[in-house]
Amino acid sequence: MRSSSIHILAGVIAVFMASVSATTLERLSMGDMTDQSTMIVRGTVTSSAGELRNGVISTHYQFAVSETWKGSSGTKVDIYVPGGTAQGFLQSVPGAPVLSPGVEYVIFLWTGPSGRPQIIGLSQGLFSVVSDKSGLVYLNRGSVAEMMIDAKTGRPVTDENVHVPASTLKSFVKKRQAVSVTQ
Amino acid sequence: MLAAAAALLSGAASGYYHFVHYPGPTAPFPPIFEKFDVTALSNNALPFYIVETGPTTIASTDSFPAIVSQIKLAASAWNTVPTSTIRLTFGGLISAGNTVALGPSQVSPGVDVAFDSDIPPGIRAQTSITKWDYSGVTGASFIPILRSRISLRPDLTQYPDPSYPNGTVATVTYDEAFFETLVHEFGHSLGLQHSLTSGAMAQATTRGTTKSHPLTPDDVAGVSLLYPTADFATTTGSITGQVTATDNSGINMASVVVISPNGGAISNLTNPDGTYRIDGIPPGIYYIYVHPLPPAGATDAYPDQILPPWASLTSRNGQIATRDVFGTIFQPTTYTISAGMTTANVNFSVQRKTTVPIYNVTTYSYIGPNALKAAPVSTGTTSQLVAAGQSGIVSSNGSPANGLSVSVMGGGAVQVNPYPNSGGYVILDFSPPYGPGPRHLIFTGNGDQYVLPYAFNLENLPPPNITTVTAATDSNGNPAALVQGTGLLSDTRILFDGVVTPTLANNADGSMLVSLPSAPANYQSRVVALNSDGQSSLFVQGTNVTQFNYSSGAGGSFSMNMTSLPAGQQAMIQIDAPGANFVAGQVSVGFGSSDIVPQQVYVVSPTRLLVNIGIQSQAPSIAATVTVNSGLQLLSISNAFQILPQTSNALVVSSALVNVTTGLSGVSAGSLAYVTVANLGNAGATATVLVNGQQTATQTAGNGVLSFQVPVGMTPGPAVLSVQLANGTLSYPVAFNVDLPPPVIDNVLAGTSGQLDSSHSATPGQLMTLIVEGIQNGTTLPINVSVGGLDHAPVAVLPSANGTTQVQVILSTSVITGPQIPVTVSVGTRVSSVFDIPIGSN
Repeated sequence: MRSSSIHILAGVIAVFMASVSATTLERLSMGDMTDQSTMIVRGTVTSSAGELRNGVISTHYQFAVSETWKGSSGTKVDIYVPGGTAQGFLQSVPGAPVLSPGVEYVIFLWTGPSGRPQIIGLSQGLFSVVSDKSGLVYLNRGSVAEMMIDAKTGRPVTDENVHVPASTLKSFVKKRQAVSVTQ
Repeated sequence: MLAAAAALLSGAASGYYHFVHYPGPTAPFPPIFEKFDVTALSNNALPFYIVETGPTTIASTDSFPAIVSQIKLAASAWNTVPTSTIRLTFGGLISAGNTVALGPSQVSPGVDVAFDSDIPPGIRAQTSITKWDYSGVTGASFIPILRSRISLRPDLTQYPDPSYPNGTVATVTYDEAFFETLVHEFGHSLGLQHSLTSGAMAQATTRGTTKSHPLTPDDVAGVSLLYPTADFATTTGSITGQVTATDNSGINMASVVVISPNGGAISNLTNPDGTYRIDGIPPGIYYIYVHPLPPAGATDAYPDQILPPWASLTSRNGQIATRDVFGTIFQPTTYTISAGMTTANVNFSVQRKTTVPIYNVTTYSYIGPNALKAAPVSTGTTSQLVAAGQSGIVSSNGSPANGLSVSVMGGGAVQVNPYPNSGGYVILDFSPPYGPGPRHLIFTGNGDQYVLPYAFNLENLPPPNITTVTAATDSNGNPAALVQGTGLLSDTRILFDGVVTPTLANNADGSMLVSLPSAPANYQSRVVALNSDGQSSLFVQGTNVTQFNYSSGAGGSFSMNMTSLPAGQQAMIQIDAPGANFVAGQVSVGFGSSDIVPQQVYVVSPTRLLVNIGIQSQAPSIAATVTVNSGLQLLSISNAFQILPQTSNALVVSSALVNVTTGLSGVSAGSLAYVTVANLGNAGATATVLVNGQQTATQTAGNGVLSFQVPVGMTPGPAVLSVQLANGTLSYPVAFNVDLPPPVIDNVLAGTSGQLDSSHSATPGQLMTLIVEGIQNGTTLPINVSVGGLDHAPVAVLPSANGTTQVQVILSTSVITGPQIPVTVSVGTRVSSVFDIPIGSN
């Protein structure tokens, strides 16, 4: 396990890998996630319920927003994670994350044609917020399994855990957006 | 330690790399699996459908028919398992609106493959499995999956990769990765979860499969446990035991693995009390070890994304998750696994720990610039692998982790060296002293061990390579292709995109003449060679695959003589496709709904098909897409077939005829046959069977069954049958096949004595030769010889004089003896008349 520093973050940004999943994922860098997310929010889950829509079940989380890093969210966001139970049916999606009420998260969200915000890359865009003994706030993202060597060039690509100060990642997101706007 | 096991193997018998429920939260923990109900399927065929709109963006070297063929190829991997009954069959294209798992579109089970625009970035494929969330149901033996859905992203071309200067690289669907991803997802759709033994159901990190070897014994055991054949339990063995901590508490979801040093690995996870059971082990000698699941990340739902078992038949009592971590234990003794037997009480006492030092290790070898999983390595030479691990392989400065050592299971030292110019990886240098086959690595470090099954594959030969593919013709003037290259062997399979094409000849110069799959004019196909050692031409060519251009090809439209049918009915539909080139055995017709089941497809001519379909009686009234697929020719019409409301008391004719004489399904001209007609009531006495519109001699056999004579002199091939009542009511037609005449036994010779007569008898154990008329040279139909009611498989089938065939069998020592023992020979469902021979005792 490796831990954080701004230098590590640079490495993370360069070679950030996908987390494991029964779903087949592809790795997204922090830059990818920032660019492709439609909203990045910090907050806590207040409630969850399965929801059946067009025959597909999603778990609908209501998320109280304390900070918005990208996009416009208001004070609440509805977040949809594939799978769950509703109206007598159970739909399993291995790899779909489970958000815990009361736990603080930073979430990279993407809204597709359905208009329903989802977490980018299943759980790649999901970070839990923790504080160390000194009160410094960090973001944790799980260990990563989709280790790859590029099949075309043979270039090795390493994996890093994500454990970074929240302020560092927030700053990165803001700068990335600024660059994007400038370009 | 060995105990009779056949009885134990009946019923739900295993732990889980399946989706598992238990009756309750406390021991005992008999697992209850989620799986498809095969009794709800026709001939165990589980249809899968591909959404007709296809992906939005594909590589310039791809096409939708090619992608469909690759998806079909991936699904077919699961159909090769001899101990599994379930068969994934292509049900055609489907409208997006009919893929709804829970709703009014269809009531029969199936699998949908969709290109979902609402799939978030970072996801290549995702499978969801839908079932009833049973409430209060007890005693269920399994939980039926209603429908599975494999979601692919609509843009198949881009593979975000920050290691590339432009951030992306185009991907294609004829490579190894797309295929293996689809095999993996189809495995999920059938009810399999991840396992940790490098098979198709392992995550890509550790997966050691290839396009040529898509499944490992672990996958075979996993699917066979869900859908076992009758002989699965008696042809494989089992091992059971318990994994406990030093305080005797059970370890939940520990992965127990049996592994052969030069063969396969099969694993299972423990129950919450630490008990485990691994079934489906091919007989042999195995080591066994137990290891913890890789740790779940802070925001991962579960370790290795394996859904823990539910503590009830519903989701409401939650799941029995684990975060148990302990040190790996590799038992030094071997266990002999015997067919039909259980090796019991193979227990482990493990030490709980707080971390897993080494996990998720991946290995690669290289051919040119191509980094290859399932790392092929030449036998007898010094070899090199690149290895990376999520943990425990490299130290913080990028060099190999302190104290890390690696060995080949079964013996063999491995040198661990730094990876030049880059941290995070190590080089493994070794000289494999073994013959060909998969090999496993043991990593030791930080006081623990990690086993990577299928870490590399020893190969005697280099992979095949294709240099050119040119148009040719076979000896009958049919389209063919000449494939030239290196390493093309007698067992090489040639793929045109995802279509495996028959080999016509292996030429002396190493080239191959293969049949050319049907395709539209100007179609561009990628041609790949797969060798039986697991290697393919993709190993050499990467994504720069040899192309074949069709200068001419098949036409592009079809019509049907019937476009609707009531629910509950069966009928034949005639499909005409001007310009098509249908070949028997290579055509499938799909109706875009699992409530519409194609039963038989008859190729009447290169441009005409007859298709029998049956519609589920509870089917909702929907319009469905019809697809005709022949080779790489993919024709479809949206909303072309309408299911109508069920009509009460309508005649429903079954296309499954029964030969009155043989009791089998095959009928030929002049045969007496039974046909079953639903809702016939008392009208059977006056009903008439029409064959190709001609009345036949018909009699009622009661219970809705009519007997009739297939008209004498009918030409073998498809024919149309309908039933007419005296009041003029006419059933929907169904098609059936008029077989060739049954074979005829001209003579039977035995041993060296030759002719059999009253003074010369055959004796058990002797070679017996039947001289038979009516066996087509090169037939692929099964041939069987029955002697006194005892089946004998031929030891040889040889062409003989005057168009006859010699069928040779060894007379069983169990055969009955006597002066007139009846002998018959069958070819498929065609059975000869009896030929009596004398059989004496030795």
